Amino acid sequence: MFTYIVHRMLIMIPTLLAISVLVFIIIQLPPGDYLSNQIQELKAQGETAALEKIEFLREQYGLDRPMVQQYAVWVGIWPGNNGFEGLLQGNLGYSFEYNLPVGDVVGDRLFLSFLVSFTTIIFTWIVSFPIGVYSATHQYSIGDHSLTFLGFIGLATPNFLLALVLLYYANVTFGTSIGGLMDPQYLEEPWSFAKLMSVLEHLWIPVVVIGTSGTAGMIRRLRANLLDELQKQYVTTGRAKGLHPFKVLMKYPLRMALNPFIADIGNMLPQVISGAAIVSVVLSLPTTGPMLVEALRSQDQYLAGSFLMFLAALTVVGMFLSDLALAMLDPRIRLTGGSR
Amino acid sequence: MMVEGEDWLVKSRHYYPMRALAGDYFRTSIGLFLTVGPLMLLDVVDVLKVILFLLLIVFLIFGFRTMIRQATTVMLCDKGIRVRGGLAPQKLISWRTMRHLKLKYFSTRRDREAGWMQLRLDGEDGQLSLDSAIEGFEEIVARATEFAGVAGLSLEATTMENLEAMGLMPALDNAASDSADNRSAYHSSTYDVRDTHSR
Repeated sequence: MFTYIVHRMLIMIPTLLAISVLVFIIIQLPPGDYLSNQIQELKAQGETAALEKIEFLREQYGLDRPMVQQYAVWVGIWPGNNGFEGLLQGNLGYSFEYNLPVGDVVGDRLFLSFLVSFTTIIFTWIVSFPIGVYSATHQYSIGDHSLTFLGFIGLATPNFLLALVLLYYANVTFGTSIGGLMDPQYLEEPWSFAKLMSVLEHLWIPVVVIGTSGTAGMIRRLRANLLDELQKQYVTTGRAKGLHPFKVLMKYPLRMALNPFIADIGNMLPQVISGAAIVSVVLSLPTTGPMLVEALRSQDQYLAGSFLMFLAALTVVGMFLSDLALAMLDPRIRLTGGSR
Repeated sequence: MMVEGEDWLVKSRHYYPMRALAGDYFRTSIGLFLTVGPLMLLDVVDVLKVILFLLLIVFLIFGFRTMIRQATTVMLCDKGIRVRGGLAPQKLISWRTMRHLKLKYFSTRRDREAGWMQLRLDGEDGQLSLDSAIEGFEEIVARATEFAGVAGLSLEATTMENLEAMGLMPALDNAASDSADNRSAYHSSTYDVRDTHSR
């Protein structure tokens, strides 16, 4: 297992480096940059005073340098105007759109994104796990058919539509304010118990909206996997020898059927954050999703780049954790078509 | 544990080949380069310093383990398996007192190809872990499996499937059919070796 961890780590580090190169190239692909767009706008408006500041910013943030050098400065392996000050040094860069360091712009949004994402994952597992097990162990029963039907509805319903419906009913039934992750009076307030309660009051809507489709998909996969396992000979043997059905289910088939849950950890983290972007726009959530969309649209390269790197790091770490868990849970060779 | 009698006479010796170890030494040096480099040359943020330092420790342990492997000799005997050259002066697992046999497969690739096996034996006097990189790994696994069958050890489903992939199930079946009968057949999370026919 230790050898496996080392091998996986050695894949992880170059992967992150390669992703950082790709991210930087992609955010540089559109012609021009945020500042050149600003210059065009200011020139069109006949303003010249602000142009000097923009030229200063261009020099300050190294936008006049070659792309390779810009990348090296951004990552922090090449000195900028004030020495090493890149991602490796904890400096996420400067957001031209917000006129603030990226760290300040992201601020609370990152925590709120984590909160929404983490709660969504927990929601997805808590709901899909027992339903998937029930559907597999009670195949073709009324319960199975009903839950399958509900699952398909969950898969087929567009998230933004469900968001609007839930927003309406939450407002009418519970008096929850429309949009956002907290009541408006707490927006600029420091964290307090009342603010936390307000967040929790608003949290269930995005969690249900974002989690529904994932839950439905997970139920289907768990059901299919568990059915495969339950039809194997060893389960029949166990039952024939008088083992309690619950024990037969829990000890081995369920363990094997858990594989897709664990394998999904890696994909789930970034998917939930980036997939939540559209829902976040509809629900006016102060999360990172809408901010990324806006940063990409306006070519705010450091904001977009740092956020994409964050997503990439989350994916790579998630995949690493899920691979470790899978290796511990199921260190099997796969026999396919009679050969390895 | 003392090695006594002719049963502990060595039948075959097995070593980790330099070809396999060279890969691990290369991995160690890459790991050290990727961790020590930023720590020494770049003024990285504190969180990253901690992460890099932990990674550095992992790679150092890996390198040290590779050195130990280089000095390791595994000896197959009629009575059991002996390992010399590790941190302990000598390790012995007697076939008669062997309690567990686990065979795991690891691969870092998505298609799960190009991986490696790990054999773990637990006996009364300790445990032993060997990777498939060692010369004659199949012979070691075959011998251990044969005695696991004779002793009627319960093997995990994962181990059974990996043995099947190595083509060692017939040896296990034969050994099991020769061994004494009337043991408790089914253990909740494991197969008894005689249940393999039903699979």
